[in-house]
Amino acid sequence: MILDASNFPDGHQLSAHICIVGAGAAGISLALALEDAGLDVLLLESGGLKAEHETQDLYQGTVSDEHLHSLPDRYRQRRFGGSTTIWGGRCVPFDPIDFEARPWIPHSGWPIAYGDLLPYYGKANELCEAGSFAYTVGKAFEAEPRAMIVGFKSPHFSTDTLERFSCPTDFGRRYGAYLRASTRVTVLLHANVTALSLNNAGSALNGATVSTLNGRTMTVRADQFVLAAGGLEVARLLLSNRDVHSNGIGNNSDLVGRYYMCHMAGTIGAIKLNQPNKVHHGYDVDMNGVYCRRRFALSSATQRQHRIGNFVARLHHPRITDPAHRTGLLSLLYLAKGIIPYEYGKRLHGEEHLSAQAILLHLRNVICDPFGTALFLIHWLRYRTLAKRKFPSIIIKPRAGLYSLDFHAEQEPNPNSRVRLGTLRDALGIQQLDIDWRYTEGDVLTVKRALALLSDDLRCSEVGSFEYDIDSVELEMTRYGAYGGHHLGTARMGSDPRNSVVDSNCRMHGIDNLFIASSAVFPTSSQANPTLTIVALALRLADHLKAVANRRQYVSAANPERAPRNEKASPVPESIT
Amino acid sequence: MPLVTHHYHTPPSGCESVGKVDATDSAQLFEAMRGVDAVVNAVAGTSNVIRANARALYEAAARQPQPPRVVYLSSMAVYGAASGVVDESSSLTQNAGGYAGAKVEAERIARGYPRAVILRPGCIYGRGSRQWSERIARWLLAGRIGDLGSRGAGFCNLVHIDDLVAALLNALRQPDIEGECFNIVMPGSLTWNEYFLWLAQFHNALPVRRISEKRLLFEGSVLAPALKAAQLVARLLGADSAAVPEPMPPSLLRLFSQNIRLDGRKSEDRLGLHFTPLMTGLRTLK
Ligand SMILES: Cc1cc2nc3c(=O)[nH]c(=O)nc-3n(C[C@H](O)[C@H](O)[C@H](O)COP(=O)(O)OP(=O)(O)OC[C@H]3O[C@@H](n4cnc5c(N)ncnc54)[C@H](O)[C@@H]3O)c2cc1C
Repeated sequence: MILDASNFPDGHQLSAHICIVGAGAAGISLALALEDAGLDVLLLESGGLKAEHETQDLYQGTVSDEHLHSLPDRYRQRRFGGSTTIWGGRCVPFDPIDFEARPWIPHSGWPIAYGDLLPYYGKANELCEAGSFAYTVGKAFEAEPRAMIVGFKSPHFSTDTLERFSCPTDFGRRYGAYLRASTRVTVLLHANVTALSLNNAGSALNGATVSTLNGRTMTVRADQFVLAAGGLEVARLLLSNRDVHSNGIGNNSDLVGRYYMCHMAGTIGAIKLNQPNKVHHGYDVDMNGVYCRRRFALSSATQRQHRIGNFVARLHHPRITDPAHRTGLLSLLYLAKGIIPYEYGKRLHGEEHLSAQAILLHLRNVICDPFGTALFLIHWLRYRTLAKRKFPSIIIKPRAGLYSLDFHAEQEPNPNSRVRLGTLRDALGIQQLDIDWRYTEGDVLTVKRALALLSDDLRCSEVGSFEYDIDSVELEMTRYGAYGGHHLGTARMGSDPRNSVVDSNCRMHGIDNLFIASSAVFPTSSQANPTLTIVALALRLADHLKAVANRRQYVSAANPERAPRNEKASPVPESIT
Repeated sequence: MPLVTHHYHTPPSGCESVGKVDATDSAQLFEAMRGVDAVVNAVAGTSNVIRANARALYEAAARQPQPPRVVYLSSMAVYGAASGVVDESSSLTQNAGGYAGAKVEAERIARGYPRAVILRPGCIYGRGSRQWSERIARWLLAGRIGDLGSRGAGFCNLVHIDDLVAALLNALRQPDIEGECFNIVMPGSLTWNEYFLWLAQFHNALPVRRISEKRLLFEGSVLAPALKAAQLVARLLGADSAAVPEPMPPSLLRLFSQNIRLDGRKSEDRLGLHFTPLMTGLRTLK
């Protein structure tokens, strides 16, 4: 059932077995997994079915350095489906090494291992609509697809691992109808959780307050609460509730909001390959029709040997802003930057302002390359704009045979990289976030070493060369700031409450019934994009919550009136259809 | 085994044709079932035919000196738009018209006959399954269906044709099952999307295409009536209506997303069925 909190009377009380805050990838996956558990689930979502300015503005906040991190209302969506309404859909599981405590990565190590998540990755892949959980060429394809670079041999990098692409699936649109038909899950839209009330001992959550932008306030009681409001908002919710725990919920050790990670990413250098027709840097399609792509993946043995973090890289088109690429399409993308959404335009053209002469050169590129540009646009229209499973990104064979390298690297946990509450408040009176994202020398080292190894390997295997300016590595990895949309580590998982916020079941240390389903719990960031792992963790949490419910024996299939209860006998609005 | 049909068919080996019988005519049915131990009622037709057949058949059976056991091939359609796990005790669709309503009515009449056994098969696939194997394969090859996203996320409740035959045989032989009814469906939770994928694999129709909701809407509300009309015109003109692509009726498109999961455990327990795994079942298509 889907209801709208703005239609509820003021002072309304709701109850459920499990209350989930936030209907993005995590919250929706969790609700779906609990659907058949005989539990009444209340999924509270701040937004509506579509984007709304007023609600999105609740995400506003400040950043210490706008060059290093986008403002907090960018790269997030406050609406049903969360940020999956605009995500890119790249799905990659974490690697086993990511879970290990690595002495050379400070504060690394998860209290769970890769094997603990593995049973959930398959279903997570399914929910993300990224085909089967087959992330190597051998597993994904019956007949081996083209090599990435014929003849490339490397002791450090594998080109056999894959990234897979979701449609990209908007979780709200994809699973909305199912949730609407559900008799056990109630989605409440426009329901902003503004307060979490602990018992006097601070050991359990008694309830949550829901506020709407049209001035209604409601209370929610539940046996278990799960915060699934996204990696930044989880920290904000915990920090802004200070009536029982004076530093914020679960923040006795001053950890909430710290260790904030994104990923280190950038585009660098010039790769010249000796045999351009023996290069395949595009996508292969698996039997599900899912786009898959090879990349250079740094082996765990090399990470150990060189004491660096995880790293992947892809062959990429040259920097768009520089008209020297002489590719009509890339110039067109530069000229059309006004109509490309901020989140995608930023890494295409940055905020660089070009001279009139450079713009003329871009125009010349478009005019001189009409067929290349037209062919691309037709392909884009057919396979991206009109297709339901979208061609994931721009793939072009560079005219000059020169590629650049697009890398995506682990950012190590750093207590000084943090989010905290700012001085300004949102329309509901909650303090906004202030983001102070920082990277470390270790992060720069990971990228520098990995690039050097790749350059050597390309040369040694005599397939080509990779030239880049070593001194510009740090500049390039921070040119567009922290990688947008990946908000990790602000409520890290661990076994010791002195250095972690949640335990291995994602339960807040010391609080009996409060859980977190979000990348906020990631103690380390991996090279992988986060969503697949967020969903896998949510599914694992669902199993845990079911087990807890069974233990406490409050599962009762024959308890229909338990469905989000109208405790005060005021009329409950009709379901949104 | 005597075979009674409305059309003239060459009876399969092991069967002898009793001849052409009007399955809605009690007198003809009475003659046809004279001396038989049991009857399998697999009559298909319009809803009027289904109802009339049920009335005539049980009346004819009851009048036999030794009334035979009747195994009635009903359908999962009796559950209508139900969702969730559905077992034999779940309520049947109320006030439905058309095929589902007729099947419900036929079951009601069957229940008035003490020696009836009702089977409710899911979607029957396998060799010779025009609806759920051959037609779908053609649609897959034509790129008209594939990965339907949420529109194909319903459970497909398949049953292999050999398992249905086994169910029929066991329903004829098993003691103590008269008056009972059984869902006949393979265990598991296969969705239509998954079935399409496996079927596509067997027909070299990979990779499957993602089909948008708009496209399906167009299939159901524009293309389906147009194709249906084209088939009618072809038939009127004496042309080959099979040459017209098959329409995808909206009711079928609804079924692909219906979250109904038939529970077939009772048939495993009481009829002793062992269901064919999907892969084995699909191999029989070759
Ligand atoms: C442009 C872009 C591209 C991306 N591309 C990729 C990619 O290719 N691969 C990948 O893995 N990831 C990608 N991501 C990241 C991905 O979108 C997120 O990892 C994912 O959406 C996180 O899911 P979540 O459920 O934790 O949070 P969200 O999806 O952010 O959902 C949180 C939900 O909580 C709600 N909420 C917030 N506060 C409250 C409150 N107080 N009360 C009630 N509800 C609240 C919000 O409205 C929202 O619906 C991308 C992100 C962006 C922005």
